[in-house]
Amino acid sequence: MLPQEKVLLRVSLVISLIGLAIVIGIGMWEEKKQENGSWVNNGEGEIVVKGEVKNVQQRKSVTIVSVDDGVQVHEVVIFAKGKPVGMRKGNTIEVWGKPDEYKGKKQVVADEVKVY
Amino acid sequence: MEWIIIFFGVIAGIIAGAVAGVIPGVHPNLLASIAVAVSGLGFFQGERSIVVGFAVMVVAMSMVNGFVNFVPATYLGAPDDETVTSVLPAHKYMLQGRGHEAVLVTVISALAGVVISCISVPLLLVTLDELEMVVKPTIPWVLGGVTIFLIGREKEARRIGYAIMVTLFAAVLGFFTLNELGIKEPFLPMLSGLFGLPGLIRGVKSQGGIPKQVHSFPKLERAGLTMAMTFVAGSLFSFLPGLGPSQAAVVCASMIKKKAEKMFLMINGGLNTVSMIIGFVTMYVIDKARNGSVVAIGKLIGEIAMSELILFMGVILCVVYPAVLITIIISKKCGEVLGKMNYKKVCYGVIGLIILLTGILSGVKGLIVLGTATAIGMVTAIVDVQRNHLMSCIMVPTVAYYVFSV
Repeated sequence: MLPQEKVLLRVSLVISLIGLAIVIGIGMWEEKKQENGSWVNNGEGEIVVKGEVKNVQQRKSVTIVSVDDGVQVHEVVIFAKGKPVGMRKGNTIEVWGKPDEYKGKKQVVADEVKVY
Repeated sequence: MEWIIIFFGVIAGIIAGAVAGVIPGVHPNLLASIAVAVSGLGFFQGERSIVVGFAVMVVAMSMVNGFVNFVPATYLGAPDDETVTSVLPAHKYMLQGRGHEAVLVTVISALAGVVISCISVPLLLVTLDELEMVVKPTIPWVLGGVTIFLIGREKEARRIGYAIMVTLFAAVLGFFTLNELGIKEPFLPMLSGLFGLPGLIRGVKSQGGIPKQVHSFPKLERAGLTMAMTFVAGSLFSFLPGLGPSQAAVVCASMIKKKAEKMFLMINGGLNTVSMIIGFVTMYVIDKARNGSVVAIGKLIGEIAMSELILFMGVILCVVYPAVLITIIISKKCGEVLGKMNYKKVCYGVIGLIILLTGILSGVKGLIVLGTATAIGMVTAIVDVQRNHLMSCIMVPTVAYYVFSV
C-alpha cells in the first residue's frame, strides 16, 4: 500500500468513527425519548403525540397531518371540515387521540389538537 | 432502536454496494427495489425497526456504490448513469497504465464530497425550500445554454456541424428511450451504447494488450476550487426533478478546460456522493425523492423524521472507511488481473455481458436502443468531436420536461 493511501485510509477511518458516534448517539437519544414518551399511552387507549408539522393535506371532510416527533413521522387524522386553525408546516402541535390502522398504515385519530 | 438490525443493515449495504459497483450494469437502484420488495413480505410488515434496517441498508449500499462504481468505468470502460461522463478519461488513464491513479482521484473527491455535504446539511435544511423556488425557473436555460456552449467550443465550422448532428441524434434517442418506449432500466442500453461499447469495440480491433498498471498516487491541482464547483453544481442539480450528477457533470465540464481530465474525474467522483447526501436532505425538507435510492427509502419508511435523517448521515459517514478500503483493494486487484489477460478477450467479455444484461433487464426494445446508441457513439468517435455532446440524450429530455411539464 502506498504511504498516501495509508493517510487516505486513516482519514476515512476517523470519518467513519465520527459516523459511528453519530449512529450510537442518535440511537441512545431515541431510546431515551421513547422512554420519556412523546408517544404516551395513558392506559385508556389514548395516546399523545407532540412534534413538528411536516405536511398538511386538506381533504373533503378530513385533514391528514404528518407530525415529526423527532423519532418518527406520525400520520394524524383529524375528522373535521376545514384546516385546524393556524396549523401549517413548521408548527409544533400536540395531539390527543386513539391509535388506528388504515390500509396497513398506522395512524392517530385525533380527539384534540393543540397548536403552539 | 434495534442495534443488531442497524448493524446487519450496514453490513448488508456494504456488501451489496460493492457487488453492484463491480458488476457493470447492476445498478444500486435495482437492489434497492429488491430491498423494498423483500421488506413488504408478510413477516416483516408492521416492524418499524426492520423497515428502518432495510432503509439503512439502502443508504449504506448507495454510498459504497458511489465509491466502487468507478472501478468498472475505469478498467472496463463500462459506465452507468452516475459514472457515464467519467468513463472516457478514466479508461484513457487505464490504457496508460494509470488506472489505479484515476480511481484514487475519484475516491479522494468522493470522500471530500461526503465531508463537505455533511457539514453543509444544517445550512441546506434552512435554505433548500427557498433555493428551490429561485433555481427551478433557471434550469432549462442553464441546460440549454450549456448544450449550445459545448457545441460552440468545437470552434471549427466543420466540427460544429458534426457536434450539432451528434447532439440531435443523441437528443432524439434520449427522448424516445426515456419517454416513449417504456423500457425497464433505460439508462443501461442507452449509456452503455453511447459511451461504453464504442470504446470496447475499438479495443477489440486494437492489437495491443492492457499495459502493466502502475500504482501511483495522483497529484491534485486546484483541488479546493474543483471541490467547491462540484459541491455547488451537485447541490443545485440534486433537489430538482429530472436532474442529477450527470447533468451537473456536463455543466461543470463546460467550465473547465477540455484537457483537464484529472479535474473532470475529480468532479465526477465528488458529484456522486454530494448528490446522494443532498437527495436525503431534499427528502426531509420538501418530501420529494430525487434519486432511486431515496425513492426506495421513501417507499420503505414514508416521510423521514429528523432522527432518521441524522441516522442516515451517521451511516453515510460510517461506511466511508469500508468504501475507500474496498475500492482501493478492488482497483488494485482489477489492475493485476486485467494485466495478465488478453485485452481483446476482456473487451469481448464485457461487450457480451452488456448485451446479456440489456437483454435480461430491458428486453428486445433495450437491445434496439443499445444498437442505435452504439452506432451514434461510433459516429461520434469517427468524426472526432467531444463525447460530452452525447449527454444531450439526458439534457434535452430534461429541458423538454421543464419547459412542458413543470
